[in-house]
Amino acid sequence: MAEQYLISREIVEEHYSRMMHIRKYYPFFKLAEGTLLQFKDGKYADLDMGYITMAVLRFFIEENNFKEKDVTYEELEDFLDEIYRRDFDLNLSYEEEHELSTYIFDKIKNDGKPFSFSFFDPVMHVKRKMRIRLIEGRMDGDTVYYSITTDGLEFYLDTKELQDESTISIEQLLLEKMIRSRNFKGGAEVVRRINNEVKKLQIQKNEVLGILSRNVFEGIKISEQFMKKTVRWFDEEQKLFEKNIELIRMALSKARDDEMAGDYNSQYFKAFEQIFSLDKELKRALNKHRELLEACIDMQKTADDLVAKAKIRSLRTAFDFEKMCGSFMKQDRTDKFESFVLPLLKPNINKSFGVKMIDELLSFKPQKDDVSEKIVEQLTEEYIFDDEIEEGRIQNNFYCFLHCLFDMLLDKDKFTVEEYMDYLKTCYNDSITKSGDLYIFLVHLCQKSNYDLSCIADNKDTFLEGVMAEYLQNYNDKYAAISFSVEVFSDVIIYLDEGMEITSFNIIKKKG
Amino acid sequence: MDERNLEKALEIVSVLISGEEIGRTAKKNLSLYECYEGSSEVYSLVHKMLKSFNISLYEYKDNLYITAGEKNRVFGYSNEELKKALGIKLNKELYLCYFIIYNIIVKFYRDSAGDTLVEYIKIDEAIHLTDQTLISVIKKLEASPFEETAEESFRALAILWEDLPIMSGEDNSMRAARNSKAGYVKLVFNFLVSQDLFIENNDRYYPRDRMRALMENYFEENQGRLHEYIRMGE
Repeated sequence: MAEQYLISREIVEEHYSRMMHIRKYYPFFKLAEGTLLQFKDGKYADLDMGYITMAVLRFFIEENNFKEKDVTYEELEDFLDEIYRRDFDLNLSYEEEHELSTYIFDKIKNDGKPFSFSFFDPVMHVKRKMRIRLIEGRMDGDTVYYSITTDGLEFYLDTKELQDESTISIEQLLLEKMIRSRNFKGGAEVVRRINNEVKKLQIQKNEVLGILSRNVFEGIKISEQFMKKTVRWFDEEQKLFEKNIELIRMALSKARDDEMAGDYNSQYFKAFEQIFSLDKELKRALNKHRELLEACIDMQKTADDLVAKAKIRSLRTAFDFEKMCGSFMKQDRTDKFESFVLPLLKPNINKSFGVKMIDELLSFKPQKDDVSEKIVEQLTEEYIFDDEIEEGRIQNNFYCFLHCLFDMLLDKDKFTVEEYMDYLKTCYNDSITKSGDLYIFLVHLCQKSNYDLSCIADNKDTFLEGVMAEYLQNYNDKYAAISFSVEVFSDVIIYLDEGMEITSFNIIKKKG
Repeated sequence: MDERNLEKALEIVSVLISGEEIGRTAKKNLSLYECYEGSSEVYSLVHKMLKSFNISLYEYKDNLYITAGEKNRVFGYSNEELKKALGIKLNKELYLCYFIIYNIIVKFYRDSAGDTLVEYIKIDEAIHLTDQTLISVIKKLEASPFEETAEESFRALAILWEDLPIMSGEDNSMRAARNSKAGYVKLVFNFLVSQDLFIENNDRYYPRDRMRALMENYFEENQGRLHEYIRMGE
């Protein structure tokens, strides 16, 4: 059971890394399988595309990694032409050769797109898509230069068991071995490779400087890594340089001893020449190495200066465009770049009408069962609210009370409130005394002791006076000359209804 | 208010909106610039009018430059109008053009505080810069899940860019087109030149004062609002 578990675990968990490892082989088999069968009705089907692919990769390694230069299409075409003649005995006209090479190269770089294939990731339970390129292009001015990709290089090196991780120190050890075995010619070759290694480091240093000028903080990290790596090497490399120079010095001294001993022969002269050549190359390498060391120290100084400048700049509240890009990447929103681009544009004064909208208008068909809406003239409605109804009722009741009050004042000079209520009962009915409106009316009436109806329109001190003025104005002005006073007796309480009690009072008509 | 000043202010605003330059060093419409500079009433009227149009005005090296900003309904651009101006069809192509513009301009301005010593930019550099900015996204594409992507995502943008050849065919003629990286960059540069942001000389693109004026002023002035917009959705 445990064994079963281990197997399934290995199958699931290791599948992804296995696919990542074998992906570099995919373009080769895709290219090798019948690529040329489809071209010109299989006229060049005898050409082995697998062989041509490997040859092209080797050509790129030679040019890119050893000669340290990128390849133009014309150079590649010359190389392919040589292969057609040498390996396939194919003598083509210029046009045929150009056509075939263009086709082959387009296939190797997959028309500029990466080779892609999908596989199932059993851990994540998703289908993944791999993308691999063998050759990549770079534009310099108007010319496109091609170079082998890391995947391409890895694939090529993986096809044969070799490790090509040459560093200066490894080369130095090899050189030492060669000097000891008196292979000075081979030694000179090794030194040339060391020079190339130093040159590579110079290029790397320039790249680091480039990053530093673009993004100080990113550059500082990379520069620290670079310095850590190279400075650690410098000590070791310098020691090995000295050791090898010492070995050459010893070889030279031995040669001089031979010269003293009169041991001359053609081999001696040859060895002497080779030692000198090696010595020259090694001194050149040593100088270059020192230059690199100085450049690295300069770079450190530049990095420090840039950090100081960046610190000063950071005090100013500037808008950081790189941070903005980082934020958009985090949100995965490329459309947000419009906030960066649109403010840079001129005002848009040419207004356009979207073509899509015209299409929609032309193709718009109203449904058959759609009935057009009739526009009916709207009548304004007046709403009467509850409080307005209440107000109307109170006003009407107050007018009735006032009417009775003023009638009594015309007949009598003095009467009590009880007499007034009796009069109301005869005019209306007995339950009138239980009306809340009467209770309120009497309370309002007692708020003031004197009333003069002749000038009430100008002196409306209380709410009731306001009602009186309105009543006189709207209904009857025969009462306009009346004036009366209210005399309250606080010791006599009149009970009207539950919760409605008033103190008795007299109403006295004033004369004159 | 003097009616002549009002007329001058209106003339300045209409000239600026129509896309013409006004300024001393630009040597265009110099008399209008002198009116703007010499009369406080004209100056104030121009600013008031432009503000009511939601347009920002910047002075740079004795020249006047305006921008409608990014949310201007009257003088702004719709996506369709921009696509038409750039010569593209899809939204993701528009976003790619935005991204290329960003990479070109960041070569000169990493922040609004000041520019670098870079004098000009070439098409191949713009391609390289776009490649470099997208490198982390492209790396992820190498073994990415096989799934649909939103058109505004960086993944969609990287796929579109990565699937393009550097140049179409083997001929060296640089044509603005959607079938290669160089073609896209050329499309973008043609647009930037038409917007008076760059000037082309011998395949080299030099930034114009209009770009410098906007880069050094607009973003700093609006940074509070822009920061809010940028952070929205984080």
